[in-house]
Amino acid sequence: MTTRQTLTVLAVIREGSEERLQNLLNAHGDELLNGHPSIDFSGIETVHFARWVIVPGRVNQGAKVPTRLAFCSNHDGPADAQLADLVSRVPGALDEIYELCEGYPEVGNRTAQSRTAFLKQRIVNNDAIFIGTPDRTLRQIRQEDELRIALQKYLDDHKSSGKSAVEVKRELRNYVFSDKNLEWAKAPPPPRETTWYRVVLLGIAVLFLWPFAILWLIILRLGFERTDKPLNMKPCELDTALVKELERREDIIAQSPFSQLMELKHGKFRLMTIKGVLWLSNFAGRNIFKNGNIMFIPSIHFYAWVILPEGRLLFFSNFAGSWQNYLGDFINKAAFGLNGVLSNNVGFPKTWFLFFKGVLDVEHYKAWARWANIPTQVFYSAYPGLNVKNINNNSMIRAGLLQDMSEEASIEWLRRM
Amino acid sequence: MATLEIADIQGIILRGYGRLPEARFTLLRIVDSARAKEWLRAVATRVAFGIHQEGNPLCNIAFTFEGLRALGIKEKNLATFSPEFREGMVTPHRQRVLGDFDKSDPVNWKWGGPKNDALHILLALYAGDKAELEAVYAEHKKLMQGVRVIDNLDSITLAGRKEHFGFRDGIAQPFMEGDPENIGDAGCLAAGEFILGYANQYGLHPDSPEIRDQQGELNALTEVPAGRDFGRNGSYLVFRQLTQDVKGFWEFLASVTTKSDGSSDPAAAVLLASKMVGRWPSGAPLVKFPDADPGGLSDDDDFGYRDTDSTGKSCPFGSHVRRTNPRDSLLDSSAKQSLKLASHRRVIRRGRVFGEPLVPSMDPIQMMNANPAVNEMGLNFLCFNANIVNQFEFVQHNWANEPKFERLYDDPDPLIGVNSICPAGVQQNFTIQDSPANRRITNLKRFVEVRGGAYFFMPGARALHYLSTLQENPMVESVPDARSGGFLSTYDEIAKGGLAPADAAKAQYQLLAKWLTEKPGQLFGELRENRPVLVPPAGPVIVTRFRDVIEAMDLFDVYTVKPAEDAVGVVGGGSKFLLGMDDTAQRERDQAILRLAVKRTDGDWIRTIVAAEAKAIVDQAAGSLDLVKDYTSTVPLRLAALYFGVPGPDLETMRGWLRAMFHAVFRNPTHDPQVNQNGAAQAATYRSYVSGLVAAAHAEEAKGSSLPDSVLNRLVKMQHAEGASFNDEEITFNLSSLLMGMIDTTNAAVNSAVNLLLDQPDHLQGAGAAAREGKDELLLRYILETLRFGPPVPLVARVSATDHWIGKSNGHATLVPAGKLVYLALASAMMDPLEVENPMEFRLDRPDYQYLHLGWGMHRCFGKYIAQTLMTEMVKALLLTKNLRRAPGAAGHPSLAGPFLASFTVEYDS
Repeated sequence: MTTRQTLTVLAVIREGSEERLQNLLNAHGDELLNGHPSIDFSGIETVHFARWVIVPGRVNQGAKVPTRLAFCSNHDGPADAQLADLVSRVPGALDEIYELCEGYPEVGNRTAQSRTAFLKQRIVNNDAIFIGTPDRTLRQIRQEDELRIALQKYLDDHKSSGKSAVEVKRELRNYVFSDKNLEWAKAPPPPRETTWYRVVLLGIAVLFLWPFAILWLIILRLGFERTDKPLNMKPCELDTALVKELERREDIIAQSPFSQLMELKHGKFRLMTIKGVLWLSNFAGRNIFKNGNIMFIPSIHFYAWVILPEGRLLFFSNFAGSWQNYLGDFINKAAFGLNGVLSNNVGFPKTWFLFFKGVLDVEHYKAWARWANIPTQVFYSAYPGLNVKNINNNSMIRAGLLQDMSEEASIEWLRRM
Repeated sequence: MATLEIADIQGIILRGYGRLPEARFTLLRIVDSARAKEWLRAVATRVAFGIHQEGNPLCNIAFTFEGLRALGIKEKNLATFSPEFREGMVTPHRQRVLGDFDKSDPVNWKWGGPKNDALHILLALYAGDKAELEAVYAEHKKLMQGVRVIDNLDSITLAGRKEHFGFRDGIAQPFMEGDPENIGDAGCLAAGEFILGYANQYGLHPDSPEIRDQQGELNALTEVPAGRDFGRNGSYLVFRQLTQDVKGFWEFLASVTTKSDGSSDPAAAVLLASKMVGRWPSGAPLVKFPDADPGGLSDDDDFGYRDTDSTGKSCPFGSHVRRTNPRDSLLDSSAKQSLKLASHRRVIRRGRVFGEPLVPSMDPIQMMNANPAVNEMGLNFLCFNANIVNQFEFVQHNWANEPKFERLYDDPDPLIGVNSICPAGVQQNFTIQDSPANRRITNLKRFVEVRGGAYFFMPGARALHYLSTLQENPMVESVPDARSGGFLSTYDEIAKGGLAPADAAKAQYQLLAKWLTEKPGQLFGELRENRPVLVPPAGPVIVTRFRDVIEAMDLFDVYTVKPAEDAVGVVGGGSKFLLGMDDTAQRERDQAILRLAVKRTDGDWIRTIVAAEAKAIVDQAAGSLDLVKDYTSTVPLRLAALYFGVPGPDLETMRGWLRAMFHAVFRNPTHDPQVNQNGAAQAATYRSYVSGLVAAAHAEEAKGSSLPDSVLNRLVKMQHAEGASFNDEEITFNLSSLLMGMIDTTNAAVNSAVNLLLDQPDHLQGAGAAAREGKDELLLRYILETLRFGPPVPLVARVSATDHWIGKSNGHATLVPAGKLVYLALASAMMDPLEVENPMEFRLDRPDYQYLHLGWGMHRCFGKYIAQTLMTEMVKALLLTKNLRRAPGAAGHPSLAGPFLASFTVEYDS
């Protein structure tokens, strides 16, 4: 089983080069979105998603923080292999982009080693991640979609009325077995990670720890939440130029990127709170919501949370469908979990005992979400035409193909097409 | 749960007026805001509210964002409307959201699109029959003033309340809590989903537009923390005119349901169409009648999908009604949660059919065999919701257009979600859940196209009355009203009136001159739309469109600067100046020499001088400053002294000299001999003063002392250097002319910019922030954009050297005969919607080239960058004060003395 991993690299942009870098990234990003990529990720057969995002610096409050460039990719296999792939496949793009950052090797000094070393030094830890379609390689995802298309084509071309579901399924299996291109489907899919025992362990831990959690929430309620100052901005008060810049990249392919930069509320208590909630979120994403429906939201391909050393929080995600739909799911389905993380950030709508209210102040929350939204200059998806439900459904089709099924089960299986 | 204030809610939001089968949607444009408000007062008494459901006919009214702006709602208040309403239905992102491409692309729309007339008001009339409709329309037509009819969209009701494909429509309407007619009805939705001022399904009040910047008679509106609630009892209205290709629809269905022997199977075609709709032609839901249409007519709305059809076998997941109102069916949710999710996305539909049906019987089988349609037919889709993004757009985007709705892969809504051109590799299918395996209809076609559309706001009674009490908005007043029917009708009447040609020409010229001085904005707007190049028999040609103005300026050999040459000649003492020289060898030489003395690299030096001088005056004035007398020409004169090296004997004398020359050259269209004489006399004195300075410089040189750096001294020094240089006389002349062109233009520009900004608190604040943060570029944008609404140089004059067809590549061609005086209306060009996107909008992201304040092409202002620095720094010094405001009374507004500003006093806290 190849694991999916997330690589996040953070590099400081040279002072004065911010605008140049932004223009360069925008140009690359636009070409990727329009299907004429100037950075050829498609040659790297391990990258599912990748993005470059300029993380604005901080000037007004606290210690000055320089503007940085974040790279975040979701890939098969270990980070070292991912770096090696990037350095060997798109060195030109790396040079062009990172020479505008501090510390990149000088022109005469650029080798695979020096480039790799530059990136490796700047890897940062992800505090929580979620992957909508875990345990599958890019290759498997692509193959399984080809299989689904082939099966559907077969069904379009061959009348199935009058036959039993078992018969139709057998026909389909025979067809797959006879097609050389689908040879790979004869082998059963790689096993998925077993995680139930971890959930049991967590359950036991919860049995012992819940009084502490309650105490923690009471302290939070009495000592912190009541003095929170929400942003209380309405959607109509948002900077229209920012929204335009964000919308420019949305709804072009079946996935859209979302990047947010938030300021954590002051103090250790809030920091520990968010770290705890992120740990839980990470655990739940990996061990409980394994079929692409984190908190019952079926549209999220991927997300990562990164707490920055200066006390800010980065959120990267890509989702299927529209931003409005995505936010609507947050509000209608995942308010509880989202409040747990987001309410530790400045300006968030008021919460009650960490998990309640907050997001449910719908329009204020949406405006806040846009307010903290930063443009994703470059976004790449290896499968722009598939959403999480499609990919998981494809896997079920593929897994079911080899199994012997009853008539009922066969009907269920055929419904997936 | 609050009871609805139905007396304040327009009737059509609450009821569909089903008993009134005829309707007319009249689209209007405001051409005279003041008169339009008078009209509104009269209309308001005829508008139907929730309490008037009985009478016939009925009338309702709604406004677009541009309409509210044209009525004079201030920008700060306009900014409280929802973003999607402000932006309108046509933006690049919204085009993707709504799927308006190809034939449905807004550029191809009949109304509401970027190429169509600006749309301000929707007047909806409903009547019992055609005659009654015509009568009520005639009555309204007589009332109308200050508005012009853009289009009338007539609507009818088809037998069985069907839409054109043959299906009963308008069935599942939401009921509202608090509506006296629905009391006790279970399954009602919170009124705030549809009407502003009430709680919605989340228990929150939807965002409502507010009057935060006081204007109009506020008493009628409810108080809210930030001001007054304008939105209460109003609703956002979505209007899309959809055409339906009925014949094509049924032919397609017949073609994909032919039997294996090739014969047609009409029953299968109707079944498939019903699967796509989710209801039978009768309206009966498939989920209850999976096999056959029970016939008759059905309004059955009492069903769900979860218990009876969880697999989609009766009513496919991809069908129109199951996806636009999924009820309890949404996967990944419980039935209860699904109902809750769906309840946030409902709209109240008030659509009406238009066009005669393909067959009167509305029988699908007859439609398959009918002759092709002779008329256009379709649906005027109207719906109400409290939040367009969350409701209408959400449903259209995420449920109808989304091919991956639920667990589908490539299945858009077969009725309203299919694209007519589909990118390679993308499929558009309809999946019919079936056993043992699903069936798919592949390669769907699009049979519904968008012909027009807009977002409106339908105000409550009190808000409607409030609108008619607004004062005119100064920023909007200067914006031309197109086709007001004012100028051209009278102008053309004169020609037909039987006067002798010479007399007619004279009368026309007088009319033109009157409009040019009194209502230039209105005149330009009307001309731009109807006669972009006006060629009167006598008097100047007027060019009003952006592209034509540019064309004329680019063709400097055809459109010569003879007027300026003549004018400069009046005061010129026999020489020629850049401004008045066509493309000649002398012009090239003079310009080259001047560029060596007036360098772009002097920018920082100039900025330092101007900033310091401006600050000194503002500081010294201590809180009250007459801009005209002590600032806006004083600062440029200080630049003349410190940078150009021409201080003048004293400020007042310099000012007087330059003013007299400027008056004769640029502000004397009637060639008043007295003005010319005075100009020439003052110019002579001024030149002799400058030539004295040149002589003094030579004397200094002779003494061997080095000359301090200034433009004048550079020109003197160049005489000893290699290459071309001016002789003393030329130095004198060119410097005189250059300064004449600098002082009173920047003077007018800065006063105009400050005057306009003071009326726009938001922009004043934005410009102030730019000033404080040292964002000079941004501040300049504020100034240039502000000046678009009150340009200091509204037109420039040229003379045609040869006959020329102007505008050939711009969609028209007009002959400008040789020897004509031609006015290029810069003010008009910068308001031309064909070039300048939404010209009435104040925007900071417009491309540079669209600002013509400093000219274009060869004759662009020689000192463009100096002028920009002067404007920026002078405005900046004022913005850096605290609480900049007008002086009380008349002093706080610009006053004129002849063609020049006399005074304009501002105050600030020092």
